[in-house]
Amino acid sequence: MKTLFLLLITCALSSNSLRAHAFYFAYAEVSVDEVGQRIEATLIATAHDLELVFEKENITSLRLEKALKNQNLKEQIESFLNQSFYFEKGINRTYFKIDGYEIKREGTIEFYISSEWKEPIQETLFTFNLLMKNFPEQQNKALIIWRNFKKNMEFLPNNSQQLIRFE
Amino acid sequence: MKNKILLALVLASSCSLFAQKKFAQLDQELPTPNEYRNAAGAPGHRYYQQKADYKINLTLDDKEQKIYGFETITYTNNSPDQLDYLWLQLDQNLFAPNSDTKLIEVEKMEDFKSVGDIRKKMFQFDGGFKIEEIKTVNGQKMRYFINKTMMRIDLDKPLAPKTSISFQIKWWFNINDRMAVGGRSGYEYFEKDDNYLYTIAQFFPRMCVYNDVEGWQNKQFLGKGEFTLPFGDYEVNITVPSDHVVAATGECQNYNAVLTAEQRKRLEQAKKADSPVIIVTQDEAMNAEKNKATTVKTWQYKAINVRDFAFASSRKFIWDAQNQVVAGKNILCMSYYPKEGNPLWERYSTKLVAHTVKTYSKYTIDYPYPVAISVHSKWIGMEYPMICFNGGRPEADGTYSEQEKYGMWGVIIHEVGHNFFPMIINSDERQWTWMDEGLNTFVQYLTEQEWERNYPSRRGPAHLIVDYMRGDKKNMSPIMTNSESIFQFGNNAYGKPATALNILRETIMGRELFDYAFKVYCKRWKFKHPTPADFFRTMEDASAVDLDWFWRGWFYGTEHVDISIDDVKWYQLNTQNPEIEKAAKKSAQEQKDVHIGVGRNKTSITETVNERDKDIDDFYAKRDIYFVDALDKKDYKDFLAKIDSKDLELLNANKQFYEVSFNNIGGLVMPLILEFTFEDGSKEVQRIPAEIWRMYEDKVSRVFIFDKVVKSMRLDPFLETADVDLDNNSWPQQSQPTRYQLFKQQQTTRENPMQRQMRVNELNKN
Repeated sequence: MKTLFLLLITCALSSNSLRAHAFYFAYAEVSVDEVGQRIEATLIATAHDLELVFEKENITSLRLEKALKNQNLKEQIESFLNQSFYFEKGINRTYFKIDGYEIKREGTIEFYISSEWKEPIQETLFTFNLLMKNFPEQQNKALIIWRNFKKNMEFLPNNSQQLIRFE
Repeated sequence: MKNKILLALVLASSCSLFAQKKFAQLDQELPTPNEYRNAAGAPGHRYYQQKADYKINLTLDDKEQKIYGFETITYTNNSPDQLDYLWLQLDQNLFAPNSDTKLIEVEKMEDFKSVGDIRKKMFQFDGGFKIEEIKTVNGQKMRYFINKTMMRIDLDKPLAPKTSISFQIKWWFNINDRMAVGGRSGYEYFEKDDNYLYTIAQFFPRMCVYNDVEGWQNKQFLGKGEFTLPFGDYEVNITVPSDHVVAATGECQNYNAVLTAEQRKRLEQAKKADSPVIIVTQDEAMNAEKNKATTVKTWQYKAINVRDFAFASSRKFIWDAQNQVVAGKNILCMSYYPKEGNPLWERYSTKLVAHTVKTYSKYTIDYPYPVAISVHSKWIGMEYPMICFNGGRPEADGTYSEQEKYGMWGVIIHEVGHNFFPMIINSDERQWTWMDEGLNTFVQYLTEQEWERNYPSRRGPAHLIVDYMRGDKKNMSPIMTNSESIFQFGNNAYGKPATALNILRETIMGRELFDYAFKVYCKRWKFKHPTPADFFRTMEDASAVDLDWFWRGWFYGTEHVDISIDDVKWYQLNTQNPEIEKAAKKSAQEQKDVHIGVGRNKTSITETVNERDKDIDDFYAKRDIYFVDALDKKDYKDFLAKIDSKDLELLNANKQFYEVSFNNIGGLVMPLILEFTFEDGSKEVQRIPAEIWRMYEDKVSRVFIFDKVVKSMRLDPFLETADVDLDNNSWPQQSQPTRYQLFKQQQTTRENPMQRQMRVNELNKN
């Protein structure tokens, strides 16, 4: 079978070059607002990892705090995040806007994001493969808060898309 | 709801019976103590270790980015065993075209979406050692076999106990471009001025450790699990372009030959200074960048009792140094960095080195080496004896974010800290990454907190690990997992052990006990090869605290902490005094909820039949059940006659009893730390040791007795236990806001404050 290659320029980064760094972990705290028909989330990653990836993928070579002040770059970063963090059910899919962010002194960045979502959260497909294409060791976790329930989910490169089920 | 009880003892109760597992002693898991490593966790009376001394001559080819080397190794067999062969580590072979490291990467077709991806995959770097010859010092060729990153030298005559052998190896290799190929060492190329900055390590065939635990530690170097090496003495001659500045393990023996008179003078000043003195200035470095010498110089180094050797070389280096006294000994703390590292590096690096050496010495052992060095290159953090390579670079305009500053500080403290773990306390990082990374990250945290108050440490405090620890365990590894097989390497081998030690220090043992026991471990095993069992045993041996449950839970398991307050029952003692008890019952009845009809009926029904016809109400309708009659008084008087004065005092003391039930949802047992807030606003903290779970691992209860009424209670109020869910930690229950909710409340964003200040300054000028 012939496979067409896209002309996206991606680059798998060697984890050896960032040896003492070793943080390859992103976390999301997600709450479902059924009344407001929204999903609100905090997406946490290592700022330096993102800067590295944005530079390699020719999005920007600026530091995040500068890049996020540029509307055009902010939208590109938003688009990047949405490619690796989304919920879908049937033809419906989230598109998260960056409502705010905070770069912590210890090196993480928290993106405060939200998206419209009118579907029931049960049986929704959740993809969270942020940075996995760039760092083979990346592992992500999420906490989904819905009504009185809390669900922890883990995502690895070979299991980055899962169905949400509350038992 | 308040309940009344008679004077009685309340026993701690449980809801389930379980065979005791979590508090089982670790005897089965730990190796049997023996004459090499005893049950106290100390080296046994027959403990031994090997020695490897090196004489190395090497040349750095700056034009071709190659290293040429020739070494003489003298290996001493202090073991009681005869050795038929020797094993050496060939770490550069990680970059060889047939390296296993590349073969074991999991891949999918979607990793190759672009021409760039394919080009990178097919890119071949001719890495790896090119061994030219191995021979005895008498010139006789030796037989050897290379198994990827390990080399076996077969001995014609076995090496008997307490004897030595000397042999020579000649080799060369291509130095890797770290930005393209990766690696813990290599070069950084500066295109703008066409110069290289070399951070060179693992550059020579090095002896493996042979000991009582592993025999030969000859596990392949796959990339994650780092090194362990025998101690020895080094004499190294490094030939580089004459305009290069070299930094290396040990002490330079010939500054007269390689530095100018002015630079030597500055160096002598630095040796007495308690703040950094520049030895090679930025102007001198920038001058060297332009000229590119074609002649060479040889820098001669000696290092005593080290496990490895590394160096850095560049004509771009600025160099500064200061003295730091530790236990009466002078330590020369130095930094080497290109101008691209300024202003951060000139301002902070050497001070951080000095602070780290001093603070780590306080918590472990006195730093024994003469120098401690921090070298700056991009995107790196790696440690070797007396020298480390560190990243953290400002922007081209010299500004930097707060995050960049703290990142640079953290990496310098961490990498300099590695001098203690594993360079001196020489654990086996090929097998157990956590024994140096976890311990080092822990002391790094302590050092950071002494550098600046409220330093934003990324690891250390218990609450920072909770996001990693929650969730499904099938993708988590215990800390006690071989280095190559760990899920979530950083959190597992750095963060979790550092957190565990912090919990031991702050909560389980207390600072005094912990600090003492930790120092005992460091002193016992300095310049030796400890194992996890030695650490576990020493911490108990030196403190009289049974920690097996803790090692079992934190180091051998993957459970997390989630302990909830399930139920609270409130009791008071029945005083038996009818004046008090009947009044209390009446008050409780008046506060009960009533049906809405009752209130409406009071106004809408103007008169009932029994209010009109006085003959309707009988004895039951007329009596006041809260009236204290003569019989009540007599019964009370009889009661008083039987009770002694102490019991009476207790009855009348208005004690409040709270039976609190706890549920161990997460599995990992921890102490119960409760903060009670009383109706009068005052607070009290009570700490129940983790042993409360020893018989009943899922649910326990405990009765708390106070003189005041409790308004609320909170479990783990000081975030000590890494509890992943704080929503179930309060009574009455309180949900914690999500991070998004907190953000909406605060609505703050920040820009780089330094750049903002520059704009403010501009405005003020105008």
